Parts: sequence; C-alpha cells; structure tokens
Amino acid sequence: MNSSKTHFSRRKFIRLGGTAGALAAFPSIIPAKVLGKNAPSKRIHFGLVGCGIMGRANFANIASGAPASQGAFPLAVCDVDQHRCASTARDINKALGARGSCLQFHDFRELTRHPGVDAVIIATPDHWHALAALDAVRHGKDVYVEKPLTLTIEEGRELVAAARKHGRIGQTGTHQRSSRRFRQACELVRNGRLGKIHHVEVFIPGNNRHCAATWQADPIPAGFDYDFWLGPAPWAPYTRQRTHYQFRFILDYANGQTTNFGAHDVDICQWALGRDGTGPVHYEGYGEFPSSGLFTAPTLVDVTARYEDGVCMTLRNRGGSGVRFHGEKGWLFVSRESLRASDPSILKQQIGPGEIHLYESRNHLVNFLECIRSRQAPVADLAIGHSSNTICNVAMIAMQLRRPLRWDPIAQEFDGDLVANRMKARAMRGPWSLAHS
Amino acid sequence: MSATENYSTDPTDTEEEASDANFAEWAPSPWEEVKKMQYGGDRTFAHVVENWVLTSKLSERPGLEKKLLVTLASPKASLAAKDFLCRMLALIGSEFCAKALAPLLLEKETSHLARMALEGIPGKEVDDMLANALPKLDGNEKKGLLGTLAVRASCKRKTASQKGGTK
Repeated sequence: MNSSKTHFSRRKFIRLGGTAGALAAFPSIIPAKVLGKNAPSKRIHFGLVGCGIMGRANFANIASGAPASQGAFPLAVCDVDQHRCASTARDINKALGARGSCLQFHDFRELTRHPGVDAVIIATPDHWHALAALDAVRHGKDVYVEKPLTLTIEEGRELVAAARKHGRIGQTGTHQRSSRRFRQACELVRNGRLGKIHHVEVFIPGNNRHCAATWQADPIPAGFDYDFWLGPAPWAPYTRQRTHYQFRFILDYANGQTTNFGAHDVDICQWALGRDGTGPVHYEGYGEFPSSGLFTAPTLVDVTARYEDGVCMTLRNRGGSGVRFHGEKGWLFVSRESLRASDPSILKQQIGPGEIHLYESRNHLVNFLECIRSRQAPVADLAIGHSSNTICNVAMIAMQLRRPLRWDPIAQEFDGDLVANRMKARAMRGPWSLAHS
Repeated sequence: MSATENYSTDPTDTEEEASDANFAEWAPSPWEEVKKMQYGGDRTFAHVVENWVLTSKLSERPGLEKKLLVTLASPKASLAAKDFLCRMLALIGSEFCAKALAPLLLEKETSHLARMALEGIPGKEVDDMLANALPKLDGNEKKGLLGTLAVRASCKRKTASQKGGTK
C-alpha cells in the first residue's frame, strides 16, 4: 500500500464511517485468544493509547478498509486529554453506528488490563511509549508502537525483552518497511545492483519550530491532565508549546527529528544493508543545540557513523528526508516521493528467484494483524525497531558529547565512556518505573 | 602529561587565572547565574555549564562535580537550578553525591530531582542512602524510589552476568 494512503484527515475518516461500520461484524467483545488460533471469526479487538495525529490515523485504518475486512475492531481509546479522547471516540462511534461503541479511558492501565482488548496501538508522545507498551505486553496484549520505539536505549532493551518473555507480537510503526518503493530500493541495494556500498546518506527534516529565548507558563486547559501527560518526565510548568506535536522538540520527551524521522530513514539504511539487530560501531557527531528557549532538540544534526566493515552512514538534517546509497557502480536515492538512481536502468532490474527477497508487507497494520493471528514476527518487529532507533539515540549522544564514541551494538554499551553510558537511561518521576508501570 | 595538556577551559580549574583577568570583574559567573534560573527564563548560562559537563575530561570531573554540589547547596539555588544541577550530576556524579543529595530526596518537590542524579551512580554509599530513605517517603516519591532501587538491582545483575560471561 502506498504510504500516503495511511494518512487520513478527520473529515475523510468520518466519510469512511459507513464502510467501517458495515465491516465491523460482531458486537460482542470476545478476545481473539479465547476463540483460539483457528476460530472462524478471529476478530482482533484494538485499543488505542494516545489520540493524536498518528493514533487517530491508525485507528481510522482499523475502522475502515482492508484491515477491518480482516476482522479488526476498534474497541477502546485512551488519552489524558479529555477532548481528544472524546472526539476520537465520537468519530469511531459514528463509523460503527449501531454495531457497537468505543470505550473511553483516561488511564492507559485500564485499557491495557481490559480483558476484551487483544492488541494496543501506542501513539503517545515518545516519553510514554515504553511504559504504555510494557504494561500492555505484561498484560498479554500485542502491541503496535509508533516510532521512535522508545525514548531511551534502556527502555527499548527492556521492551524487546518483555515482549519476548511474554510471547507478544510487536510491530514498530516504521511503516516505510511496508512500502513497495522502499522495499524495491532495499532489494536492489541488498542484491548488489550498486556494487559494494561504501556510504549511505540519511537525510532528515529540520528541527524546532520557532520559539523565543524565554517562555511563560500558561493555564492548563480544562480537561487536560497535564501531570499525567508529563508522567515519567521531570516536572515543568505547563506551556502551550510543550505538549501536542511540539513535544518532539524538547529532549525531556523526545529526541527531535534525529529519532522522529531518523527512526524511519536509518531503518531503511539498516534494511538495505542487512544489518537488523546490529549497527555502526563508531560515531562522531556535531549538533547545534539551542542555548535558550523551550525547545532543546538540535537545530543542526550532523553525525557520521561507521559499521565494523567500514561502511559509512551520515545522518544530516539538510535537504529534506530520504536515503541515498553510494556504491561502486553508482548511487540510488529513495524517499516517500521518489526513487532515483545514477543509472535509471538499475531501477528496472528484476530481483531473480535465487536472489534475496525482503519481507513483503503491503500494509503495516494488515501485516500486524496477520502476525497477531499467525504469531510470526512482523516486518518491523520490536527488535528491529529497537536496533534502528538505537542508532538514532547513539547519534544524539554523540552530538551532545562532541567526541568520538565506540559503541558495541550487541552488548549495547559504549566502550569506556561513563557519561555516554549514563545517557542510555533516564530516571523516571514517581510512580513510574520500567520495573512496574 | 605537560602543563599545557592539563589546561582546561573549565573555570573550576582556572579560577585563579580568571580572577586576574580584567573581564572577570564585570563578566557574570555562570555558576552564580545558574542559581537564579527560573523555568521559562533565559538558560544561556546553564547551557555554558552543560557544555563544560558534557565535554569534560575524566580529570576535570571531580572539580566540576564539587562545583555542581556547592551550587546546589546554596540557599539561593532556585527549584529550576536544582533541576538543572541534578541533571548534570546524573552525568558525572560520584558517590560524593549521596550525602549531598539526601535532604533533597526526602522533599516532595525535589525527590525526583535527587533520584534523577543518583539512579545511575553506582556504589554502596548511594545504595545505603537510598535504602535508608525508603521508610521516610510515601506516595509517588516512595514508588519512584522503589523504581530506582529496582533499576539499580537490575543493573547489578546485568553487570554480574556480563562479568560471569567473560570469565
């Protein structure tokens, strides 16, 4: 499926309501696991934590089109912003009509513990991804976690281990892995159409909307549980620009575009090079961090990382987003908008039966649904998402420390750098903890 | 190592030289300015100190840690200053932090800030201080501390298993 089709406006979503309602076949709430692997209905009941842009888009996909025809049902939504939660539930209920109604929760723990929920979509701000996903997998739910998978390296490690321990299916929201264009590009690279790859350029968009050097606290909007929104992050006064969408430019909650878009495009680099589960071992970074103001993510990102075999990856926020592979025989550029190569004939080449064919997923959510049923690993399994996101996180640390870092991607440790190793994790504000969410 | 190689831009190491320079008479000290930090206020001086911490050499860190702790102990240090200083101590702090941060750990307003600094600092002194604080806390502060103790225990297990694996 073309990735652009995954983006639904609210208006378009409501228009699709009739289809979704017709496709939501059974009103009863019986978790799929109760019915067993081969049960004929096999309806998967979904919960959504975080009713922002991505959460609503994902839930709109569940309530309509191909995923719903395979028996997905939007059972519950959750948000600490009462207005967002209610409006999302209202839109879902319109789509469902008389066939059911969507439950609403304020506290994600009620949703993750609900016996009728089979799978949870986590689309909160980044600082909540790990806690919400961990709680879900510990309570027997499969999870679809928006990218970047987690805020810190340790959180990612913990989540991957917990999903494995509890036997849960986990899809990372890096949906470029379900795009035909990106798969084609990666297969061409992987099968040597560019010869030996020596350099990969990863481009990410610019960071930080404008903000002044100082800011003022604003009144907390009615219906918005700000303390819950902060959750594990350090306390700070509410100000409008801190929360919805722009949280990603504040390092207490996210890591800017380095992990936001980096999680997508670094992931493509990893896929094409066949490096899932591992990554570069040497990093050098230069970042320009705002010296004052609310936003703290770097306005300039420039990181060079080297894999053990010498392949170089650069990550820069210049020139839009996309990935350019440089090999002995030429270059290939892929982005959501285009696929180009130094020699256009490269793009017409077929991948033969004896060559490497990458995991084919045509729709990220459908792939997740299929894997919930088959209990096979999805195209962007949590471990894959973690290894790609870790590269972005290590890149962030390299920019902050401004010194060369040696990284062991298997042990997930920096070699001989105390400060860098401490930056892999963050203490959480009580009552939150990775040990008990 | 020569004297030149030992030179550091950290004012902790160059205090005497700085006091001789003319500019020191009018230039504000980042350490003094940090004490006055407010949420939403200009954080340029904090940014300067943060860069010293992040780019510090191993040999510079004890001096920087001392300076951070002295600034933190100042009665003039605001809540935002304590927040910032604890974040810096989380990066380079040692067991010396245990005693200095004990009072902050017991205060509702600063308990998380103290844990933020202490959670990643290994050592028995920190372990003991955290354990002693546990019965004195309640509510979210106690739950937060329990989380910190769990994280530290997990780190110790990982370290032990890694050592076991390399033998």
